[in-house]
Amino acid sequence: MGTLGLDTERGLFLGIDFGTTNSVISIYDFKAGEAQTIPIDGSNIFPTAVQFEADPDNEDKLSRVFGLQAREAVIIYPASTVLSIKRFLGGDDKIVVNVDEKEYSFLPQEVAGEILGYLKQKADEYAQEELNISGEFSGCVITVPANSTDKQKRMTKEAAILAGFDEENIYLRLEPAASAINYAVNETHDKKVLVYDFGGGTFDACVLDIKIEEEGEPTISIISTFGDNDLGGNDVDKIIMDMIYEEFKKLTDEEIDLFDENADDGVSKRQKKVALVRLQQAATQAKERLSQTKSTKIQLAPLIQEPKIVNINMEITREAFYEHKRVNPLGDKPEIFEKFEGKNLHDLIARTLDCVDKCLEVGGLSSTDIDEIFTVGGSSSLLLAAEGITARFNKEPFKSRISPALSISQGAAHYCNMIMMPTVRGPVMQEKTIHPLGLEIAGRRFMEIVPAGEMIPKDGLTIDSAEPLTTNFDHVSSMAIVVYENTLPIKKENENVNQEGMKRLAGTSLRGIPQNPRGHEKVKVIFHVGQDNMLKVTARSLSTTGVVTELSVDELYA
Amino acid sequence: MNWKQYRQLPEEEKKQDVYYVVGLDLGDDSSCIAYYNLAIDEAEVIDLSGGYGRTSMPTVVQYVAENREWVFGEYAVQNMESGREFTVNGLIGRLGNSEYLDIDGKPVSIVNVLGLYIKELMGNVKNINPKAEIAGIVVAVPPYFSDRAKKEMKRAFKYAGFEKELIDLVADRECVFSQFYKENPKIGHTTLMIDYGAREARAGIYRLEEEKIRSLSSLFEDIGTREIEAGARALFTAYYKANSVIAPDATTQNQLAIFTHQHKDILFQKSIRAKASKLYFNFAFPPFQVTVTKEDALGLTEPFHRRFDKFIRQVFEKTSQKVSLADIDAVICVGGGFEMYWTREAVESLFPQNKLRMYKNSKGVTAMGAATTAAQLLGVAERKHIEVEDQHQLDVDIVVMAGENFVPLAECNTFWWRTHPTKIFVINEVVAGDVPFQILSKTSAGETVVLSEVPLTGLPERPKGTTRISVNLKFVSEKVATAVVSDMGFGELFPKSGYRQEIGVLL
Repeated sequence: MGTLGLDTERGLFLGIDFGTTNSVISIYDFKAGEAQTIPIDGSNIFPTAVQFEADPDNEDKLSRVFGLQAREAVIIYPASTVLSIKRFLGGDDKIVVNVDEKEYSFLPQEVAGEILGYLKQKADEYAQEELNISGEFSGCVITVPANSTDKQKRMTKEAAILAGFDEENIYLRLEPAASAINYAVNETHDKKVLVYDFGGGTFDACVLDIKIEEEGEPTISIISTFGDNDLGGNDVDKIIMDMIYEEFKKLTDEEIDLFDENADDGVSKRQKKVALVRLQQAATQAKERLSQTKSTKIQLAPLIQEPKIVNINMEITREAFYEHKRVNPLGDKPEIFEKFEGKNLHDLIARTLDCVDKCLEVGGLSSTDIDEIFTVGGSSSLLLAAEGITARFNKEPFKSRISPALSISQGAAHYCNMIMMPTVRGPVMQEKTIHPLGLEIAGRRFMEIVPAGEMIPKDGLTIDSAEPLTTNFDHVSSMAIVVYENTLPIKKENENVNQEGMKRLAGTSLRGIPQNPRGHEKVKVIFHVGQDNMLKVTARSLSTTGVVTELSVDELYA
Repeated sequence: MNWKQYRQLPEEEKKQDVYYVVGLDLGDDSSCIAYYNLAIDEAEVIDLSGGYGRTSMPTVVQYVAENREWVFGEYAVQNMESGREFTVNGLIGRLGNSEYLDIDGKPVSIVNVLGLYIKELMGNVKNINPKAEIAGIVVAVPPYFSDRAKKEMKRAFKYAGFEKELIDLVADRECVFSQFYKENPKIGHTTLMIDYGAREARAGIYRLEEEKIRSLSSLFEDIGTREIEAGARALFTAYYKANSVIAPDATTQNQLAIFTHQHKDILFQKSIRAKASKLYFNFAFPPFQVTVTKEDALGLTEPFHRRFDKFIRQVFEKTSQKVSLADIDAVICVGGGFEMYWTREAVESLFPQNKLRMYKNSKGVTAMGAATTAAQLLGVAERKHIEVEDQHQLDVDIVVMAGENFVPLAECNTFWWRTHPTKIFVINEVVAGDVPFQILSKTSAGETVVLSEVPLTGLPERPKGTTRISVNLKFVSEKVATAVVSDMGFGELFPKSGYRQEIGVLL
């Protein structure tokens, strides 16, 4: 059978779970009516890694190696390999790589774009060879953590555009929502489901309402979500890294600092980089083994060679892993380390459960309202996590029919089909606002403009402030517009922007307001929320000179 | 619950989502588990690998003596480094021999070890639904699985606590057909089924008749993926020796085994044809990298490709009715071997694309088929189960009495054309002249019929208990065999005499 052309009635829909450690890509096979994960280099899980090297034909150019090969190259080529690029999306740091002593600098979205481009190419090949379909991808859902900032979302979208996806057909959707779709396919009962999403870099709790409509198809809506963007499986690995590093410090009488490249301890920068990568990989492997065995051996012989050979040869028991309290920053910035110092795995799991509690509180729910708990993300396989959930809810969590590692991506492929083909039978996701959004007004009070749970139409939701803002002082020519998200909307009256859960999203000044006595000038503020939950705020002076300012919420105070 | 009780439940109750109708494919290399989703009338494979994203689990069991704990699957493979553990592989192929293993100085039955593995595997059903109740299990086994192996398998299920749930052991090809013939099949439909597993590649030609599927030909070839993996390991070991300053010791051998397990797939993917792949030996000291080219990969797979091609043609030569490649309506490709690109190329070069039935998860098809078969046997699937009839399989054991035991020369369910293992006997009498010798057939119910009663003539005279003979049964056709009896000698005292006698056996 020859290669078929693209079925004009249908399209090629992709779902990408772009993760901190690993990524997974799935395609919606409309002939089979199911999402299929695309294996790359023989594996469904693709390490989110890229290594740059000099092009053998042109030394001024770079060529790239992706995935497993890149992740493994990091030990030999630590300066030209980039891992965990997702952690840089949303920040301002540039990615600097060194190839053959030449330095190259990239924006995070450029590196992410390279990786997404490779995934796209693999998906193209798969569609042609395995499904006999060729043509452009009609749509692509890329998932983002439920609590990601708008800047993270924007940079993710830019990466996808750089990867060659058509801007109009890139849909950013939330990770727990995507996994819920995969879960809800074939669901036959009304349910309230808690998604416990413990990924490599982030934790999200999310409560979903699944309702079976008259036609028998499930409708899904997000009731509430709460998460921690600084807590992920990598932090669990760091507990074991910390244990190994303590052993290293003992062996070296604390004379060597692997985390300070410039310390005068006789160990070369290169050795330190390699040692850190090996340390990290050994910790990850040990974590995986300890989910099955009571103890595991760490052998890093030698970890460093010069000025003296240091061999790590130690045993780590599951119990010691659970109880060990972090001592070393391990390269974390002080504000991050502060959250982990003196904390053990029990504390980390307790933090995830605190998020779960807040998520329930926001939704006005108690643990008995939850019918099922559904775990996704690689770190949710931790025994302690399952035990913690079971103790809290008095019921065991579900995993996925498919791997917890694949469910987000497959759900995203379903999601894409659902967005592009709304008339096709299958689960329906109700796009709603998640948290109230509003402005800071006089007295540091919060003025809610967009309520939670508001349906977002296809073209986005536009809401004007009910009352225009007025100037607070005489003869001012500018007005501060500060946007907040109330992630813990529990108190309904006299909400203050200082209270817990208030997240300052952005701020700007509307300049050029005619100078008049206080209260004379009025400013109208318009909020626009897209289906990807990205916010745009427009402020307009209502006086005849009518200055306008528009801001994406990430632009000033991300 | 007892599957018989489940079958008696009212139809509506049977469909409750706590009941799980399960199919298992216990392979020598890896195992899969599927359940029959009653809501959509489809079998679905269950993930077995936690974060690894695979739907199969290595059939590997390990005992860690220090912690007195058992470890299974992928974790057991990854945990092979320390040298303090006892790792058991190839569980399924070892059934039927009452084998005991030495685990930390204690004899442990292979059946018990398999029981532990089954328990672990079945635990994954709870991942889908913590309240899951097993309503019935079908296990796919190779068609040549002997009655003794089946008995041991059933005992393993008893140890695992699933004796009452186990409906039956069903030949794997029958399970695959349950999955394949889901739509209304046409009588006369002719298929070639290729099952490429760890131990061997198996292929057979089948024709659908009223109420049954007739096997027209069935052959095996020892080109299992395990042998190819051994080739990959040899290649990686050669790289190691050429690049590392430290000679490989026992720990390195284990590290190389794990490395091969994790990286072998790179050699068998299509991508290596377009671009050389790099392998990083990070466990070595110092760490080094190797570039693996298309030529390296082809050098490894091409001999297998040639043998595979020849093997498939042989299947057509040895049919009981004349069948050509063009007569085949569908080629069903199952087993982990089809995850390798070259196997796909091999079948594509023989058959047109539209006849090929390739599965994305070729390893999981048999388990899905077993789940469908279970659903059919429990009356919750739409179609009825269709059995495969194979004239090439023995329906009785061919045995010799030794004391009070029956020793099989050829086991029930095995294919007559296979090489049957040679058995050695000691004659507990003084040998002086003819020795009476009977060959019998024995049904699974225990009924025996004498097939041959020709005495052994010409054996050298020897005292009691010093005559050792070997007996090997070779089939000429499905009904005619020859038993070859030879003198094995008795140490230095009585060397081999050269005695050899052929005895005709008619079934």
